[in-house]
Amino acid sequence: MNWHYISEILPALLDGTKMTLSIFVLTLVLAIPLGLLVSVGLHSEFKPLAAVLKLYVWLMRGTPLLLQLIFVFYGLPIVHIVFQRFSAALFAFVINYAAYFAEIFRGGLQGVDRGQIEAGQMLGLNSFQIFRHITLPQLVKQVIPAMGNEVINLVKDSSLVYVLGLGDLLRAGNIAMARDVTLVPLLLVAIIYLLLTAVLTWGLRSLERHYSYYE
Amino acid sequence: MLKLENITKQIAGRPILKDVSFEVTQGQTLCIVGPSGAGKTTILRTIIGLTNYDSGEILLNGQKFIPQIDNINQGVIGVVFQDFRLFSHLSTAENISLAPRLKTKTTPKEIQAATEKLLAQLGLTDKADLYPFQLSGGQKQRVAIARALALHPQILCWDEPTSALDPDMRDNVVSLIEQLKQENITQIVVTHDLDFAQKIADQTYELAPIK
Ligand SMILES: Nc1ncnc2c1ncn2[C@@H]1O[C@H](COP(=O)(O)OP(=O)(O)O)[C@@H](O)[C@H]1O
Ligand SMILES: [Mg+2]
Repeated sequence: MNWHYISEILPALLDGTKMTLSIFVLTLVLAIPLGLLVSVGLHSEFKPLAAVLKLYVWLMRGTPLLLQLIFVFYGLPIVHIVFQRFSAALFAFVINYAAYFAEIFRGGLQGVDRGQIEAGQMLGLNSFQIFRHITLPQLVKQVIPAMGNEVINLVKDSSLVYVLGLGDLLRAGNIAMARDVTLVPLLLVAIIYLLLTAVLTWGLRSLERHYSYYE
Repeated sequence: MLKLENITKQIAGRPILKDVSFEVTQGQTLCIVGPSGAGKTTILRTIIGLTNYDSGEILLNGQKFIPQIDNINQGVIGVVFQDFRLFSHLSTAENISLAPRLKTKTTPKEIQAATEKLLAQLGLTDKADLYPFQLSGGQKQRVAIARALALHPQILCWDEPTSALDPDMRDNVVSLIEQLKQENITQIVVTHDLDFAQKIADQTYELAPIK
């Protein structure tokens, strides 16, 4: 391996990593609360709302994320809805991942014992207090494993922004490979993805351990 | 003090309660006895507002009382569920202090002092930092009592307090109920255990299953 070459292309790859991480972090920050709202809405007594949200989850999970990205960025301008590249990518990722998260949270909510909620009601807590202090903390513990899988998927899925021409890690590697006719950039890209997923896996393990203080 | 008049309730067209009438006197212990399936738990759930009833009336100190799971009930009725229903993610002390912390204007210091007092009163001081899964049945029950007492209810309801405990723990429950009676807390105790009822009851209401 040529260390000189690596140090030459590394800045571009790290720039790409920044883009990858921006998509990753912003998607998580926006899709988790949105997914939580959707999961609560899926349980709503107001049936039309529950039905619309069910349709939304079904659409998002039943069609490829790649299709959704292309639809948002290349398709919507046809009907005069124009997104910037980055906003288009983020929008598509957030609505897609929120649907997956909502499904996980919905399952988690069902797993929270009804008796815990009644106990809260009997202490005179209102619905918000019950959600905030009883349901939510118990939900978090339940959903960590499933959420962990999705979070790892998200890091890898973020490479799909490639099709919108965003300068993410994969694109940076691909450009260097095509220009210099060498496999080294792609190997480096793989290593960077592996490092990212390793750090995340470690973080998720710690979170799981943190929540194992009770049964 | 708390009076039920002809409470009737159906679930899915099936009569569960029919003309249930009784009154519990201030500071006394009323036992509701009857075989399994007679509707004892349903009566408790009706009194505490976790389920509604079709007809009849409930009076508290002569005033119409509408059981509702909100502020109205706070400080009126406390309950110790059959399966205790402690918050599994909270420690003993947190279980007790959660509602006072969220529902009352007491300062954190006062809440801590009150919690410590309840812990001591129920012999739980050394269990303050344990989680429900680390406690025995009898200990969980005492946490559930402390959690209910933290809101100073006028009436404390118990659903089958002996059912989740070892038989030799039964006498402990008897003395707990006696202890609370000394503090002038009105208690409604649901049980199918007639022996136990005899030991604690000032009044007994028999609930026969509806044919
Ligand atoms: N939510 C419910 N749906 C349908 N039936 C119920 C429900 N709750 C109680 N019942 C029925 O009401 C009857 C009385 O139940 P319960 O009050 O639990 O009796 P007990 O506590 O005396 O054993 C039982 O036949 C039970 O099956
Ligand atoms: Mg029962």
